[in-house]
Amino acid sequence: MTDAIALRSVQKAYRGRAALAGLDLRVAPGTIHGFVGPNGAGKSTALRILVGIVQRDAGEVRVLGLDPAAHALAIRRRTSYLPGETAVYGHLTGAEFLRFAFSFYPRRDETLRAELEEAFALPLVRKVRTYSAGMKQKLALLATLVPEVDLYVLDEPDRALDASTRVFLRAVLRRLQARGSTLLLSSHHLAEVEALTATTTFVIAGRTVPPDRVAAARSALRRVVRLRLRTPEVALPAGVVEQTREPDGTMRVTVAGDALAWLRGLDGDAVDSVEVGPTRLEDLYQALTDGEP
Amino acid sequence: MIAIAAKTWREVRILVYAYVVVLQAGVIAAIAMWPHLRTDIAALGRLIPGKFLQRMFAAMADPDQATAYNAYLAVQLFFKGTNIVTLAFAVLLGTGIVARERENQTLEYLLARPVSRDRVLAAKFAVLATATVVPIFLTSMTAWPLSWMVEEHVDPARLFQASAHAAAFALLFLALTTAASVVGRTQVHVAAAVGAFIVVQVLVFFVQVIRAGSVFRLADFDVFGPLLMGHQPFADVFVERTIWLLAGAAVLFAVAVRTFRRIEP
Repeated sequence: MTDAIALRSVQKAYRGRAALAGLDLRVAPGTIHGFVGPNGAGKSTALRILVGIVQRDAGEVRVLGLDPAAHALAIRRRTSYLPGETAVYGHLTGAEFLRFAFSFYPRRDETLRAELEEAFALPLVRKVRTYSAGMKQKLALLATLVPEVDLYVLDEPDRALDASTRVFLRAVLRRLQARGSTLLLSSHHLAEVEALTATTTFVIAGRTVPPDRVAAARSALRRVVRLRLRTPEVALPAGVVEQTREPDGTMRVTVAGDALAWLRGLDGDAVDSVEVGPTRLEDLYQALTDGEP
Repeated sequence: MIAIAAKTWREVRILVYAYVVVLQAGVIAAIAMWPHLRTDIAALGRLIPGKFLQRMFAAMADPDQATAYNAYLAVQLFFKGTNIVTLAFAVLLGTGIVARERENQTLEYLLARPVSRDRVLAAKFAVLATATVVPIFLTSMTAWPLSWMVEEHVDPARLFQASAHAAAFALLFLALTTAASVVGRTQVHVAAAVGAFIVVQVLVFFVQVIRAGSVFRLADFDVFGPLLMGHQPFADVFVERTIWLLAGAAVLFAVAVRTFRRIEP
């Protein structure tokens, strides 16, 4: 089956500075695909190329079987895009903004609209300029998710959302996938991305990180344990390779062997919380960028 | 396209209402002042330096009262009204057409809608052009009934023709500002660039030997005066001046469209 999205060796530079330096990305139709990377990695540039509002310098791009450089309008008719910066018109009321946003798409999921409006509880009669950052993001999400399209390109959809809304959003995105749509999801929350996606592409410095390198980094991080201790004087079991205390008070411990086996040697009453493995995106970036030029 | 036009209208409507009020207040004030000025205008004209200004005052002091009144309207409603209020409004509206979207970080959202960029810019420009041009006609035409208050007469057809020329001049500046707004990072940058252009053009206009090089020659008293006084038919003004204003506006809008196709948010 043809990929919903296929990028090969895509390059893009702004005033001589490379934003994308040979990016590869493949997204199967009907899937939710994670697209993660640190700030400035080129994620947003790649998403803009997909929807045809930025032109690539080199490489091949196919979105829903079409080249956005030549068929941007045809792609956008079948795509709903949430930009990275929350883009809403402050001079409109919430209801006016939604009317504006929906007017471009002939098919809309009115059931989903009613559910989202109820869950988000936005004051749609008020001017958008009076909304908080979280309310603006909810409004932008409503405008993006209600149109019934083949592809949803979402740049950090969970930005400025509280935990319960993020959980709700996850369920909504799964419903869109179940309907047969493809979702490309860019996010800084690794846990959110991994809870939703079967496949994830890591991008660093405008390049796709090869899957084997991601696997190796993950494997290395499985030996990392984060502990929040009740008392700082607790004696740690043998096998600690490296031990650091982080600004939030968490202790980051790298162990020599199996982290779970090592944890068994720890006094359970002395521990408040434990995280094992690459639970933080920053750790994974660090592991992936080690040795980068 | 209708959605973009409606959104643009909501953005500017308060400004448009204010613009109409200012223009209308100007028309009423100018006409109401005429009875107080007409007796002193000849003496005032003798104090004014420069051939162009003297010619203007001489027309307003013409022994034929109808000629004098129409010359006065040409100065107040069109020469001053067009070149100050209308032009300022056209520039004010034009600066935001794209630069405001960029400044508010909504340009990316707008460009990602399933509408061609040509249509996006055309929808926005159509609203702003209408908002600039229609008030000129609406308020200028009120000079016809208002003139009865001061026992004067102005030909409504000539009033309409002068409005058409003034509208073409405003469109030229709206198109110029639109082209600048497509490339400008912020509204302030666009306003500064267009403002600098206007200042230079005004300076050129007031230097006798290089006046012909000023764009304001296309909408000064020598255009509106003869038109309202009935000394020159509109067909001549249209062929000699108005058509160039419209052509200039069309070229500048085409430049804006071409540039807008290529910009990246």
